[in-house]
Amino acid sequence: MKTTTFKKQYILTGLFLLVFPFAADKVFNWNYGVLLANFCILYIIAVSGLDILFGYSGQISMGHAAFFCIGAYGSVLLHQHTGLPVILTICTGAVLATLVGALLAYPASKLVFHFLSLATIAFGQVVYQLVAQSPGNITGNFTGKFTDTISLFGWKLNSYTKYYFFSIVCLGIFLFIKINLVNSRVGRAFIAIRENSHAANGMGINVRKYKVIAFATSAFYTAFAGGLYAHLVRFISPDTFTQKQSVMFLTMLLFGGSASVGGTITGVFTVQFLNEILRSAERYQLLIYGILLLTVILAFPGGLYGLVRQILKKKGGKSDAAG
Amino acid sequence: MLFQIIVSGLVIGSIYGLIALGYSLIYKSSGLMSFVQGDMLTFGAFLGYTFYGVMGIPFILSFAMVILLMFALGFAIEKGVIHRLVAKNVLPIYTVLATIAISYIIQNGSMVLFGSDIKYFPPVTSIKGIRVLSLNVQTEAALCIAASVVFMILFNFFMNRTPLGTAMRAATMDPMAARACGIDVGLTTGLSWAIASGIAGFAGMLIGPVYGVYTTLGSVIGTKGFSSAVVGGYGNMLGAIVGGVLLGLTETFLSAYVSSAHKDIIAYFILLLFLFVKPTGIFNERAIAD
Amino acid sequence: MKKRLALVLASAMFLLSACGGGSTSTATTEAPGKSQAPQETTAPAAGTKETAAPAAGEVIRIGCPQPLTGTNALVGDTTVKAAQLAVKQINASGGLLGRQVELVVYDDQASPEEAVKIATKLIEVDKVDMVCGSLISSCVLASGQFFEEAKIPCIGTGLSSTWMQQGWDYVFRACPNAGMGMPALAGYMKNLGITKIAIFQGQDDSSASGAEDMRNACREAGIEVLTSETYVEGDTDYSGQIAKILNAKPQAVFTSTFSPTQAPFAKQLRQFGYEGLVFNKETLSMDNIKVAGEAGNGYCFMFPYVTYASVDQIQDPAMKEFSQAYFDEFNEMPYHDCAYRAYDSMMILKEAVEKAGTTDGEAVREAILTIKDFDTLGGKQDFTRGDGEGLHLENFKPWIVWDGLQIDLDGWLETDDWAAMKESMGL
Repeated sequence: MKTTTFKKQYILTGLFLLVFPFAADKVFNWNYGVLLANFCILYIIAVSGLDILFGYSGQISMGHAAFFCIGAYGSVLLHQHTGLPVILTICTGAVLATLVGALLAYPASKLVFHFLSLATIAFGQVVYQLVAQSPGNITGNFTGKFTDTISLFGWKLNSYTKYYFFSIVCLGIFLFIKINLVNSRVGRAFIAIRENSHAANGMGINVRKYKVIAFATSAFYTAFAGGLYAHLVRFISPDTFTQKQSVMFLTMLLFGGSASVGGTITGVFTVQFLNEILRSAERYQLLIYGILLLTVILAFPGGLYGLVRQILKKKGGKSDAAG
Repeated sequence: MLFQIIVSGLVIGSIYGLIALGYSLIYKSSGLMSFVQGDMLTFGAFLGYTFYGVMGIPFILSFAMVILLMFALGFAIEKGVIHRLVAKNVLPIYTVLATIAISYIIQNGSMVLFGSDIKYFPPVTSIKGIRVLSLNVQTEAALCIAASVVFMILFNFFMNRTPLGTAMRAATMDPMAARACGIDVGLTTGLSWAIASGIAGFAGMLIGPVYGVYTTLGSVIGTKGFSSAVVGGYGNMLGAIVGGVLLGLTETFLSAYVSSAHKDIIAYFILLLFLFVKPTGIFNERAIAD
Repeated sequence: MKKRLALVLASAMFLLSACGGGSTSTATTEAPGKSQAPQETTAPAAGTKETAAPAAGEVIRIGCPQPLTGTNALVGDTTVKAAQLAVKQINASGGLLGRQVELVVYDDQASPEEAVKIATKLIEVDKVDMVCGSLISSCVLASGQFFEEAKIPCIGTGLSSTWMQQGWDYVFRACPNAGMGMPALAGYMKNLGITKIAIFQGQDDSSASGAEDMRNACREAGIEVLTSETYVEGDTDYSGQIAKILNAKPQAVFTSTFSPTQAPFAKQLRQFGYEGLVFNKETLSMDNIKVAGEAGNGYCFMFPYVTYASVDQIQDPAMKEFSQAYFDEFNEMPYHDCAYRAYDSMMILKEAVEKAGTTDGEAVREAILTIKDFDTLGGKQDFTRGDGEGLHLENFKPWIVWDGLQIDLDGWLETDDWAAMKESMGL
């Protein structure tokens, strides 16, 4: 019986996801909802990357916008200078970020907590400064760069709806990889390191190697999301990749609940949702946002997803008791 | 020119040092990272502007009022937010996130309350400038450096020679043993957050007259103060000050002699190298939890 | 299973929320999967009629994304106020084409990402007919392509030359182009006998492009730029940069910065002992002048208009009338020249719509291109030159800040003050 309800959920969700853009467009007359959905999807991918690094292997990163940036600029500049199809440049940008992440992870794997956070903050700043004052003005500095959208074998993704379907497929792939990763030996090593790296070491786990793997994978995810972002908005400039963005990623992760897929999804949706309804509050927007954030942390530590789980558990417990 | 640069470097360096001191104090006493110090500085500066600039209360009195208010605020935050979270046994990262939320609230609250333009203090004294070694130094700048030095000496005295200070140090070293000796650890932790906020407010009052007050005054200083604390040895008081002064001087010199456009990137790069090579900082301070 | 449920719940929540801002018309939807730009605005009214001319009484919506939080909040605020004043005046005198005008304001937080979201929202959800664009140049850069595709005329209020260089047909400017003033400023310097200058600039798009335009202008005029120093946004201490500038011994200093930086830089520059002229890329706000005090003396710039501390100081009748109306409405003087920029942009939009007789994007655009000799606060606007700019070099006047006021530079050059400064600068 459990498996059939499980399948039902899957089918329902799948249907919902497929129908969403058409519904948004016809019922509400509205491309805007699909655009927001696109943003949510790419942020979920980005924050999933941070989750792998922090939620599962316990390494704090307060400069993750740097990978977002490398993915975005990497893809845009490659496409501009070599004319390679965008889908390739996004992947290449992500690979580039992975290499940088691995390179950073090597010395960073020695650091913990505040040292690591400062190192990641510094790293984020260095990357930001590099694109803001690039040698030879290669990134256009603050004037930014314009770019095209993705084109798959001649089929151009020139509407938000098309982009949405493409992103959903990417999201599915990335989440699939993540779920398998965390349930594998590698994932268990991550968790062991997060809980107690000395004990993990004692059990024969090569702590440094796994920390580097976590960093590299995380970089790939976030950088790919950066590429998606760049080609969705079709304009990038350094202002997007500041410390504020790194904090935003961390907030989305912790708001929803780290070390879970549902958590990252909930966190991203909630933060985007809050941003939208607060938009009418204009200058009070960020203040209210801060107050809400603090309230949630005080009331529901463990993230919103943890709360949802608790509620569902209670319900499940009741029905079990009843019948 | 060189002298002018050194003075400016010392001014900003002493501010970094004060903020770093607050960070290290909080870390030493509760083992937590706080991201609020920078915004405490801003809030303190705004309060100071309101008392001295708008309401016309004499400077010294405004100074004292600001420090007291910030002290109370820091204590309130510790009891109201931090203590609760620690008691709930949440992941430490959530407390850090809470401080980030508080930082948002203070920054944007200040903007709503005080507006987002730059506010300027009326001159603190009628003395336009002090002549030191035949060169002109802005009075407020000299005041800033002098006050910081005096404060650090007093603080050191407080922590090492007074019973309360010693109690605080005992509580950070070993809370359980301290409790056994009858020290109220809850009080001392609250006190250290309060003192840290007070220091930040103090720094705000010092730097407000020099640079003017605006909502993002503290955020960059906060990050640099954090860097200074780590450079000096996170948790080490003297290290915080040394780190701050060092960072302030390095920055100003880089800007004057190397390149103003790239001073930040060079500074952060050096910081990264430092972290990878000697993360425990100049004074070799080990992390509390591993 | 639970996570899927959470996903469904969350997305339902979010759909419902975004619904709150949406409009209700459905008629003109085309099948999804069409081009990214929404359906052609054949029905210009943001109402429910789709094909015929909109009924009288249908509201005309004008979008106004501005930075309402962050460092430029006050500037954005005054911009919005001026636009609101314009709307009020239009509505009071019978509306536009007999229809009431509504301003749709959003906070773009000076962030290109927000600018893009807001552009889409304005086009799709609020269905605006025209846009009075952001004063932040990078936001106009980010959102321009969307207005272009949707064929919605957008008159930006930023100064940077960059966003008019993208080849867009639907983006215009009814305020000064900072790039135009630079050659004139360089010419001025040359006439005063200045051949060596130093530049102090910010990193943001507006400041950086202003500095770049000045460097180019100097090269043409034969003026040597000894050094260019940059500051990072968020920094308040410029001693290093000033030390370097003064070490190079320039005869004048050129600054291209964000508004909040002007006063602190002036003060620090004077403290270091520099007593000569400072050329700025744009006007200084009254706030900056008040705060800089004596340090502000000697700031020169070429710009169509300046800000005033009170209505009595104003000579120009059109400016006086506007400032009085602004003061009556909001109980304060316009904080920044961005107010004039927004007001002029709204007046141009009004003129164009009246000329076109409709709010259809293409028609309005063509109407704008025929506007010539149209009086605004910035002077006579002329869009017939095809560059999309309304103001040109002849609208720029030279000013200097002296004793807390902004006065005519040519007049000041005849005074003893200049003679004295000239001597001390060794010119």
